[in-house]
Amino acid sequence: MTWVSPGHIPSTVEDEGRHYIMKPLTAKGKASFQKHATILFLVAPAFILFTTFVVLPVLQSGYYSLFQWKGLGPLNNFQGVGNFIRAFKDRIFRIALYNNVKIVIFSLIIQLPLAFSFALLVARKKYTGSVFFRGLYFFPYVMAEIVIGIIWRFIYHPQHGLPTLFSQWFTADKMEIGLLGDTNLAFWAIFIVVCWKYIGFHMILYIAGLQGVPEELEDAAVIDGASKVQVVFHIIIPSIRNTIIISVFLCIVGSFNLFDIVWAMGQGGPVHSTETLVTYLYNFGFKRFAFGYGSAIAVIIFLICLVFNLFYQKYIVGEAQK
Amino acid sequence: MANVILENITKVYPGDVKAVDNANIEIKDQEFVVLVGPSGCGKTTTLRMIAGLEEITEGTLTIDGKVVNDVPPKDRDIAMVFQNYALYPHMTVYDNMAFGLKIRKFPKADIDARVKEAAQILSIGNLLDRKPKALSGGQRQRVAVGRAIVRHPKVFLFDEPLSNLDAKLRVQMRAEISSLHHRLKATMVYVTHDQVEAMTMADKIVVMKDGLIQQIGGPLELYNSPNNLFVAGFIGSPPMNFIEGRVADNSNVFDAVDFRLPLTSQKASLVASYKGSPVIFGVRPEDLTLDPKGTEDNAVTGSVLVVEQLGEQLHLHVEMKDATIIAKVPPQTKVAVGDKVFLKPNMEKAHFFDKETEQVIR
Repeated sequence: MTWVSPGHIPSTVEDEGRHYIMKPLTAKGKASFQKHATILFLVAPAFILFTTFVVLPVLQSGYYSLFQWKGLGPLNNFQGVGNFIRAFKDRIFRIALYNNVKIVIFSLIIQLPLAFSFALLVARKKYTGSVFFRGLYFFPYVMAEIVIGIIWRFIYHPQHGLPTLFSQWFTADKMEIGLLGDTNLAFWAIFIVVCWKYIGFHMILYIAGLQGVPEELEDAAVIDGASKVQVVFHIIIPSIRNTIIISVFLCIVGSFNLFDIVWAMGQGGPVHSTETLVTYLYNFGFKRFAFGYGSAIAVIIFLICLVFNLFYQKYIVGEAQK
Repeated sequence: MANVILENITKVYPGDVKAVDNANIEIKDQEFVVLVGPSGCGKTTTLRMIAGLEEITEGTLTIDGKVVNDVPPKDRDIAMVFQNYALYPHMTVYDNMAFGLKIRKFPKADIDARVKEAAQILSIGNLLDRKPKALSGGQRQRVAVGRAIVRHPKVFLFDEPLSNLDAKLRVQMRAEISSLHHRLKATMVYVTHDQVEAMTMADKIVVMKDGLIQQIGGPLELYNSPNNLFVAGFIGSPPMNFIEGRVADNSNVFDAVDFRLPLTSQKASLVASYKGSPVIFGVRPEDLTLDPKGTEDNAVTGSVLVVEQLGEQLHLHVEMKDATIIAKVPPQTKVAVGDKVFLKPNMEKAHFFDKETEQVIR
């Protein structure tokens, strides 16, 4: 038996005595093979990179999460789901999870509606200063999160920060206000910064969506008798439904992955009041050389995002496309 | 009664851009008035001011005897059909048509009755459950009209509703809108850049250019007695022919570069004060007749550039030194490209225009 290249088409049935293990390709088959080979060739680099830097690390994390492991030496202390049980039994883990859920909920209630309101104001260039304000609102998004965290630490400084300044200007007792040191207020202080950072991003998404809504639609609704609020709820919001779906998705997934701002502003403190899942992973996983446990936390975050994504794709995105 | 009166209406945009300059238009009850003109002439701005979608800088707008300058659109009792239909994409045809009534809290039964009535008039009863993306251009246009009809408004406003349709559908929809006007006995204000639509549909035409009203009148009045060069050239297809020349000093003759035309006594007296001065001679294509015995001293003279056979008539494009004109002649006329022809104008229907002011000489 001799292998013959697929493109070789014999002139006679018995070509040099070779036996063919597959049918010789017709011109159509040759074209189809070339087409698939081209596709494979073009997709391969991205596929390899994705597999190497996303899929494999996730699988590796999943593997490590089953062990108690300090990051060095062999993996020989198998825990099974022990790390996961430990996480859910840990009060601080539950605080972190609760904080993430709070961020999701309040981002959906406060951050996105504010972003949408700003977008409504600046989407149409006919308003004076709209282009300037677009840039202004978007500016925080382009700054690095660590930088933002450090800047706001100064803004919240108990002696020299803005809250203390306002207290000295406008209150009788002129108290020093250290928001980041107060277990009741630190979370909200950080949440304000998260909103400040991401409102611009969502605003830009909504502006892009709004620019796909013809002004004639709004005119038609106004003539039909709709007030400005009714135009927004009956016409504009349904028209940018797909944009809203994307914005909500990014907001929720982003909220579960929040780390840099929180870390820069307090590393999850004071007393874990601003702990999030990722800061918890860092504090209780990597800093304490508990890589197995840290991997378990990473797997939990991954599974939360995965389940949410599957649910969202099926019930929200799928319904929107119908 | 649903008359609309625009008194000294002016619209100035930031940067001192005057989109509409001192417009005075009276639209009587049940009248079909067409605002026509080239792009940028201010016709859509005028319509939007009537609708309340644009603020009026100066002047007074009255609908049904009531000044409505500061009245919001929803309270003016008007309905509008847009150029791009402006159908709500996420709503069905039924919901599109019912939206205005739902917002105004009409009873459900009333809404249903009105929507079905409008659907029946426009033959779109079978489309009520569809969304706009599942409709053809003509169907969308009907739904847009239906959305206006259900409101039973005092005034209908149309902003170039047929410009996105193909030529055949445009002809059909023109007839349907005219028929609708007679059926509903409604006041309609219609904006278009197509003078054919204006001529075929209007009771009254308002010709606009650069924000100014050039002339207001019935179709035949504008066609036969244009006030100026712009109206004369804009109304009519093919457009009026214009030939520059001068009135001879000492005889009643129009002297163009290639030919001379003797003037009738009526025309001579009209242009008596223009002797020796340049004027523009205007004559419609159908008012030119081939004269085999004509000469350069008594007929428009030139050589045939193009022959267009239309079946019911022949369009001759005749080239002269300074201009090219079009003449409509019988379809069986034997004439070829390159032939020298003499065209006798019907001087009773011809016009003279002042070259500087472009106004008709009367």
